[in-house]
Amino acid sequence: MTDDAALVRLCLEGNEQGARELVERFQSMVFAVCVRMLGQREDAEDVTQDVFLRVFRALRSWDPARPLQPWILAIAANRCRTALRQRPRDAARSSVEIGRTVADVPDDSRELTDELDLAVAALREEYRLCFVLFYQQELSCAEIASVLNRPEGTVKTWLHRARRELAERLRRRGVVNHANYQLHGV
Amino acid sequence: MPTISCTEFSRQLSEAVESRKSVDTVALREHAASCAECRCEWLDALLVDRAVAHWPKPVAVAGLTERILFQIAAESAAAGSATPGGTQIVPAKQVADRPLSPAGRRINRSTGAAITALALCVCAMLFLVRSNPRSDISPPEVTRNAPSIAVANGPAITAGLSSSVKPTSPVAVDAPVELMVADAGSAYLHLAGNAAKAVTAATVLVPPADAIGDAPPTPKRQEPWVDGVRREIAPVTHQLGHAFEFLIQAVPEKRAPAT
Repeated sequence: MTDDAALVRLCLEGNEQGARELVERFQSMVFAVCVRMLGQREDAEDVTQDVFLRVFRALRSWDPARPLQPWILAIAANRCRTALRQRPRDAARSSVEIGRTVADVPDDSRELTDELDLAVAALREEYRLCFVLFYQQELSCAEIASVLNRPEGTVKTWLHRARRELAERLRRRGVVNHANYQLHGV
Repeated sequence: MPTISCTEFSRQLSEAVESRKSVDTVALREHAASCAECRCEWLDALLVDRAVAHWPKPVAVAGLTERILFQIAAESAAAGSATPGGTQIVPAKQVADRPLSPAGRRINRSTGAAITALALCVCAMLFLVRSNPRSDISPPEVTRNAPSIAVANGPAITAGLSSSVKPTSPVAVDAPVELMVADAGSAYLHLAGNAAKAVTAATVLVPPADAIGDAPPTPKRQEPWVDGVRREIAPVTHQLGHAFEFLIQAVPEKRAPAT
C-alpha cells in the first residue's frame, strides 16, 4: 500500500489509479462520520462527495509532514457542520435513517443499536462529532483535538459529557439499567 | 474501606475511558462498592461501553467511489484542466443513473420556473409591441441639426424641434441634448428599449403631431405650446411600468389582443 505522501504525489501528478486509491482508502471513514453526523444516508452521500471534491481541490495545500487522515476528517467535519446549518431546523433531529447502511447486527443487539443511534443523534453537534470520532473512528483525544482544532482538554470534556448524556438517555429509555450490572465480588 | 478517594476514582475512570482500557478494575470496583455517587458514574461508564461495543460502522453504498471520481473528473474538466497533473479520471458508469438529491431537485425546479417566467415575459412584451397597429409608434425619430433650447423651469432639458416649431423664448443652455421624438409612443418605446442601458433619468419633449412635417393634423388638440412645447412627459426614471401601460392604452380597442 502506498503511503499517504506518495499517494498524494500520485494524485497531484494526475495519476488515475492514485486518485482512485485515495478515495477508496478514506471513503468509508468519511462516509461513516457523515452518516453519524447527519443521520441520513442521502445527505451523507452528498456530503461525502463534496468532501472529496474539496480534498482534491486543496491537495496541494496539504502538509506532507502531517498525517492525511486528520486533514481529511477536518474537512469532513466542516462540511457536516455546514450541511447541518443549512438543514431546516425541524428536520435536524427528526429522522435517523442509518439502519440501511450499517452492517448486519444480531437481533438481540438491534434494539440497543437503534437506541444508541437515537441517543447520539440527540447529542449536541460538537459532542456528537467528538463521540463518533472517538468510538467509531477510534481516534485518540489528541487526534480529535487536531481534527477539530481544539485543545485536547476541551475534547476530553466534550467526550465525558457525551458519555454522560448518552448513559442518562439510555437509562431513561429503559434499554439498559444499572440493575443489569452486578458488582461481583464486592 | 475505600482504597482510593473519589477524586482519584474519577481520574482513573477518565484515564481508562480515554485510553480505551477496561473500567472494570479492582480499584474502581472497590471504590464504587462503597460510594453511591461514584458507583453511578462507574455503572454509566460500563453501560456506554456495552452499547458502543455493538455499534456497527456505516457501510458506504455501492458506486460511491465511482460517483466521487466522476465528480472530480467533471470539475477538473470544467476548470479547463484535469486533475492537477493533467490526466482525466475515467468517469463512473453508474453516475448517469443516479437520481438527483432533494437539494438538486429543488434547484432544478426553481431554475426551470425562473426560465419559464422569463420566457413568458419576453413573449408577452413581443406580442404587445407587435400587435399595436399604430404606425406612429415607431422607432424614435431624432431630428437633425436641432437647436438647443431650454424650457422654462424644465429640468435641464434640451430638445431639438423640427423647423416648423418655433420656440417662443429659446435660451441656450449647457445641458446635453437628450432626444427629439415624433410622438409619445416612440418616446416610451425608446425609453423602454434603453432601460437596460442604465437610464437614470430622461425627459422627453413631445411636439404636437402637426409640428412634424409628415404627421396628419390633429384638430382635437388645441392647447397651445407652453414655451414652444405642448406636452411634457418628464422625468421617466426606472418606471418601465409606465411605458407598458402607455403602450397598452395606445392599442386601439378593436385591434387589441384578446386576453
